[in-house]
Amino acid sequence: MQMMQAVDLVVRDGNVSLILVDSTGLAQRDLRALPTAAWWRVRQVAERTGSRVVVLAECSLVPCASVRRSLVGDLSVEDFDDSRGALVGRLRWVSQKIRQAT
Amino acid sequence: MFAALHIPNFPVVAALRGRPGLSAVACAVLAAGEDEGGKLSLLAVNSAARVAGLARGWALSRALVRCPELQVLARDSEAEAALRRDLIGLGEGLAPDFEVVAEDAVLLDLSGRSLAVVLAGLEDLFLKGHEIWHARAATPDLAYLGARHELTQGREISPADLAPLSSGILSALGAGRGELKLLGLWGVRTLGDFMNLPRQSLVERLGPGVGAWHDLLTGKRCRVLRLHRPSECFAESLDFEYPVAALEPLLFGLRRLLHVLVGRLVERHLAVGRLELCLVHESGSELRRQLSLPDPQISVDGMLSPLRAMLESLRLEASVSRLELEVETTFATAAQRECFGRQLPQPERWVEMLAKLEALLGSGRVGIPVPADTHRPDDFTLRPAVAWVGGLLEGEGKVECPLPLHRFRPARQVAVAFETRERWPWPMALLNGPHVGEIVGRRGPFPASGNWWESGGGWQRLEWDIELVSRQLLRLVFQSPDQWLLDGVYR
Repeated sequence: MQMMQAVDLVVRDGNVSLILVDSTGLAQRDLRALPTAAWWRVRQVAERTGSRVVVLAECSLVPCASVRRSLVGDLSVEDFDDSRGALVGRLRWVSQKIRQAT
Repeated sequence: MFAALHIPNFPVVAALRGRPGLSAVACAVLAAGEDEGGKLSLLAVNSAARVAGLARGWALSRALVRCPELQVLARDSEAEAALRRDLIGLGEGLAPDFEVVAEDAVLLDLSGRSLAVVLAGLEDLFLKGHEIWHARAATPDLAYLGARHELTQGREISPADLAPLSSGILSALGAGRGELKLLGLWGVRTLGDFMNLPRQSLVERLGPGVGAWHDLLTGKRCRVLRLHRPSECFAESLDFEYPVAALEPLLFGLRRLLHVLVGRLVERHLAVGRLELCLVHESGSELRRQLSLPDPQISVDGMLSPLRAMLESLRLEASVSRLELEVETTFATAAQRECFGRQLPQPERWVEMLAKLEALLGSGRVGIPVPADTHRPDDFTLRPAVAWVGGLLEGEGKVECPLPLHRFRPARQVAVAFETRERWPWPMALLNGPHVGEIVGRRGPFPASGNWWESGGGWQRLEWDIELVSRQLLRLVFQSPDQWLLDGVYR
């Protein structure tokens, strides 16, 4: 919940146009316990303040996301010798289906 | 009419201030750096050294031959600052409008002052036994040059009085070594020689700057003083009749203080750049907090709002009996508008939001992380986010590794099956922790160490980039004697 409170504060502030929320280090159980309404509130405030919120997660987390994509890299230990530019070029965006409540 | 006050041999006078026992001994302070001949030269000498025949500008080796008992002192910046403050105090006592023209001299504007009073004041100049030279003249620069020389000090001078002085005194007006050397080659030894040169020819050969010196010396030019204004203190305090433990009375008191301060600032066309709040507890202890505002503020509500957020985040050990508020001023238009830098849309809310974030996450956990000046992995410092207005940070874009590493903070201790190869422990499998499995690929070891020169502060580690059988990429660390840590996961 602390993450959601912090996100809410930054989004409401309206000074930051792009907010990156990294939830990958948090336990899945805690993330799934977040109420769906909290994400909807964040979305509504972001629309009002003109902010964009990007959430990094290991699984589908934001039910009201406008766009949901997974990043597929299939990297191995040999890839450490490549440049970052080459690795970024190999990454693939995979769009995911979004089911939204209407 | 202008007057100048000058403390001769200022560095040595300041250095001897705290050592009265040395006043009878020949003493000198060395100039910073070497002169043209690659020798150390004397910056200032005391009266005992002058009696021994030494003078400013002498090479140290020559001075020691002349006076073997010469004491060489280091410059004392604190004592010099204190002496400068005393000199400024003397100037303030004689005239309200004055300029600090050099570290050892002040220029006073005597217009509108009674000459008899000023003369009496100049005669009574006393600064804890230090010698103070003074001179009066129709222009400030003539007074300044007159006060810098023993022959002309203590009287009212005209351009003709300066004629016998050495041309080297022009350095006080900003003359460089090259120009003085050239004048010396022309046979100009005194200021009289210099004043006799035709001004137009001087300007044609040496530039308009030298022409300006000519005007100053002949009294044709009278500049305006750059007036010294002491920094004003904008601080207010409030003693509560009863100790206060609730937020609202504190805010009420703060609002009163802010109203008083803002009233003063508006009169001076200034704004608030930073607030310093001090809460004095009933027990006598103090709690100090500083609050930097992203944009200069002059509105009470604009300052009270971040103060409220900050006070909400505080946990006080006792009730508050006294409130002190000091503001650091700036100009209301001090915010730099940049063509290529984005400004915050609502800067007044930015500091308030940061204060709320800090209250939520804890002190010292909000800011912009920047790498520390060390090779120690994951060592960073937090830069205050208040000053950020959308500009780029130093070191931005430096990539340590092509794959992004998601660090565990703190690193997670794991059990590892390993064998020893070529004196290095060689990981074979992760036995517990969030990622378990056989290691099928590895890069390393990458040894790293640092701070070994500090007793107890040294660190040493071996790093591996490993790939598990589940295709998970991880960073594994070994720390002697027998500790394995999972530093992070590559995502």
